[in-house]
Amino acid sequence: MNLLTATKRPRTAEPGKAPRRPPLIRRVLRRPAGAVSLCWLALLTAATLAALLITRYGPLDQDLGHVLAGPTSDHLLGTDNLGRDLLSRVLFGGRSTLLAVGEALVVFLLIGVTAGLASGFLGGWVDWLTVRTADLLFALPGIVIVLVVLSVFPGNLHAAMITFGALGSPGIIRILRSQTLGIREELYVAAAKVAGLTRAQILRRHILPRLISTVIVQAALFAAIVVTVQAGLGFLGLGAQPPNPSWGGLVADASQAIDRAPWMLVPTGVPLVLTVTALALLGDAVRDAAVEGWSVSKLAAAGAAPPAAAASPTEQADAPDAFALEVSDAVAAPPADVPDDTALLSVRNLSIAIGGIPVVQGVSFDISAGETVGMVGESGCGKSVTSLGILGLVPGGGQITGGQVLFDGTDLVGSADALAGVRGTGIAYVSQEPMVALDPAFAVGRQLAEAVRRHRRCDRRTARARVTELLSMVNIPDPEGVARRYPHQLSGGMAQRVAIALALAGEPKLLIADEPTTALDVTVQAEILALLHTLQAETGMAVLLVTHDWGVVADLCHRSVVMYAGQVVEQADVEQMFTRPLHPYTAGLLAANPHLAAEGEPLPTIAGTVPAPRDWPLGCRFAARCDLADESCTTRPVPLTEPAPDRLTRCVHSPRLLLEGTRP
Amino acid sequence: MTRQPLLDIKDLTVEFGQGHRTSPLRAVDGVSLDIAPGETVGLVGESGSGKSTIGRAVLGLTPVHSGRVRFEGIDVTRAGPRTRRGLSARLQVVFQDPYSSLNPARTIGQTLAEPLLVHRRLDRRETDAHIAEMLERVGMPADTAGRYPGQFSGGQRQRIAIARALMLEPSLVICDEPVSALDLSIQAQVMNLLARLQRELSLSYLFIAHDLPVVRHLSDRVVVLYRGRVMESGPAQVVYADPVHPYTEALLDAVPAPDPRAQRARRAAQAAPKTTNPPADEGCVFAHRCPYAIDICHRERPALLPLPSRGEKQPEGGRAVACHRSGEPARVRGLHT
Repeated sequence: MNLLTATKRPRTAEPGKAPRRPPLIRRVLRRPAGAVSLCWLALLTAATLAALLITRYGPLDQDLGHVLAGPTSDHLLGTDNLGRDLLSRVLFGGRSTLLAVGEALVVFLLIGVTAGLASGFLGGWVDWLTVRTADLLFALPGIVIVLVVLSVFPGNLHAAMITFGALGSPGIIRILRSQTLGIREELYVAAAKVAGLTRAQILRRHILPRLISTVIVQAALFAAIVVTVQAGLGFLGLGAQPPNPSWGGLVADASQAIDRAPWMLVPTGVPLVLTVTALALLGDAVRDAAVEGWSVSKLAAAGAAPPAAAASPTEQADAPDAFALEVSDAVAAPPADVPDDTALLSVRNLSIAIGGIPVVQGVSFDISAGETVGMVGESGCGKSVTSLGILGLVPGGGQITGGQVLFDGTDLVGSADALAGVRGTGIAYVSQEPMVALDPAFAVGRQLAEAVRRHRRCDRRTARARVTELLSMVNIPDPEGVARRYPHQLSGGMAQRVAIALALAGEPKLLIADEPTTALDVTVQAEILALLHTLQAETGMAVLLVTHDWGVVADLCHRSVVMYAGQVVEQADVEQMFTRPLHPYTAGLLAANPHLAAEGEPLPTIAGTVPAPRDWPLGCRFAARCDLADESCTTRPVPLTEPAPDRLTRCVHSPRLLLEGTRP
Repeated sequence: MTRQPLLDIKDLTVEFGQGHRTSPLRAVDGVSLDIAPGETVGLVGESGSGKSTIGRAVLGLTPVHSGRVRFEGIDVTRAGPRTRRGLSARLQVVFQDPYSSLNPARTIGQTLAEPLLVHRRLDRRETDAHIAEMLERVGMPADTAGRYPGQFSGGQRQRIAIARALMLEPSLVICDEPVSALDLSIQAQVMNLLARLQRELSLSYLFIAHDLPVVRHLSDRVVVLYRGRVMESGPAQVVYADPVHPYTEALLDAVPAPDPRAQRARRAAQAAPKTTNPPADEGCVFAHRCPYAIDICHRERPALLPLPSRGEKQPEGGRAVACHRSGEPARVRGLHT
């Protein structure tokens, strides 16, 4: 974390100025693998060019007095069977290797990138022709063709390498084509068309930058292959003709003398191995450096903050203390630290960190049997992370760092056995994206049967009957027919019904539904909500409903928990919360609803955005966006209090809010 | 309606091929609508109603099968690349998905500079100044230009996408579900921004959404689409308050009221949702889902007709409905079923 802030600070040092990134070469050199491999390749190139300055001997100078010698002060790498200086021969041989890599790579990229882009972007007959030609080249044995070329142009390595570059290009053509096909459909390409950009401009500005990392990696891998192939040709005596040196020829010489002078393999083999390794490593380093500005990792995305909101160093330093204080406060505050035995699910002081950064802190709430609890808040408040944490499925490599999750009296935190016993049969989960929840490769009936048989040992026929029953439970007409269909043959609403049926397979006591209707049309949403209503009435299961839509909360929930920046900020009966919210955030969220808006007036909004986890302040986390904020809000963490019976809020002004209400 | 409309769509039909064997899918089927300068027209419907396709057809991103699109008096139905390039200064777009509509590999500054590249050859300093001004207008911090989209939240990205649409001086912006991917609180911010920009820059919007309350808030008039056909159109407030077409009614009823008591009462009153059968080939496209459907609805396709004024002497302000039973008062209609 300290390291992170240290590298971050120079970026935010100049407010109002875009961060200047160092040039690509500096970014490559900052990576150890990049620096080492680049140094080796640079050294090798320089040494081969300046070979005569490094060694006194020419590659063909024979010294028959010192044949097959080991390293001496005179011959630093020893000599070969004719007493020729190995250092000199390696360096001069390196020239042809580097030249070969250059030639093959230029041809490879020229053909590969042009044809791949054209094929993917233009489509039509260009695509057809390119793909067919590429397929044809794939079918040809590359090395045989190269041998044929060498038999036509004996000893002409240039011809061989150019041929090899062309023969290697179908691979990159196919990869770039399929990537381009995907990028072509992106909305930013549509936006660029609308902006009036020509095809060439779109290719250069939008498609190529996205492909660059693939091109770099493919080029590096291909270069490494060229080095080995060129050495192989040399080894077979098809490259540079003796007595001219080549790396492959040197290895061949060394292998001839392996019983008399095993040392010879070292100076001839090691440069080959090092160069191939360096090329592969350099490719990775350049790729990483080229995309580091924009390829945001999951963790960084969670902490992505506009520069204006970036924390000052002092805030950063305070953050760990705030965390410590927070936990101790939560202990002192209601709801009591003791889990509720009567509740079906009792979450106490649940804290979750992703990548060492706390994203959920001290969350406590209960769900009774048959109850529906809504969990409300904007994106980035920790709703989904909390709901997944209950099932022990923290995303992004995160961990539960404290607290308890008691389900039916068993603590699920850190106990794989307890979780395995509860998942599916005790607690089931429905996600926002039904299409992602279902496996596209299997018919839905088969997926459901699998879940059924996992939960109750039964034969296939019973399972099939149960599947039909489950599908009719979720109001699917023609359940047998739908069971035979694949997920892509279902509409979004139908797929969500199947996902709910899947969740019901184990007859769970609690269903966690994470934004189950957000991706659906309003009319379909209404049907799914009605379905959840009836299912609950029929099965008596409890529901934890994660949502940002107050309409959904009003429709389904008994109680609601409002989360902000990783904390519970308010908890109350739904009717009470709607009529008199006791936290300004709840009030703001309720007001910012186009459904209630007055005609012709701007909608009430909450200014600003949720702070990223690393920018959470010491005091009230909502203070920066709150109209009521004063000094008392920002000086110390605000505990969760109970200003009225069964009403919890994390606001120092709650007594006032209770009297006056939040809306003026 | 004496002024020439800014955008004038007549009998627009868009078809998508589905291979050689099956007949093409008609995504948009004879839709006509117009937008006056400074006006906002809302286009509402479920997914598959063809609302986004209309927007894409106007922008030239989807080929038109038949019909005509005129923009600022010029026929742009099948405009070539050169004409389109000229149009791009006046006709712009904001897409739904703020994550896919900005290239992750390009800085915000590079993305925003693109429209200028095509139309106005500005030097580096002028370009930067213009970008900074536009970013300020949409409420983004000044150092946004040097950053990559990955560093911004959905709401901020949507602001940036709006800035891109406004870099030149568009007269019409197609807003294709610009807020449906955003949290409610952020939705409100972006909608207020769109409303403010409309006042400041006298823009027209074609506002496409599936959420009628959202559309109502920004639009002067709404057009309700179902399966590529117009079901109802008219002034936003009137359609919202007093829907005539059963589909509009269904759309409104589907939105849960953000009030627990009201919603509970509504749910108690609602019947169980009826299962849907495949739609009839002829007849009203909504008949299979319509609680008021009678025989004729399954046999004959209702035309979109101006709504005769009902009872009171209020002008219906260009309201039109495609329903066989639109003439009957709502209560009578209910009794017949």
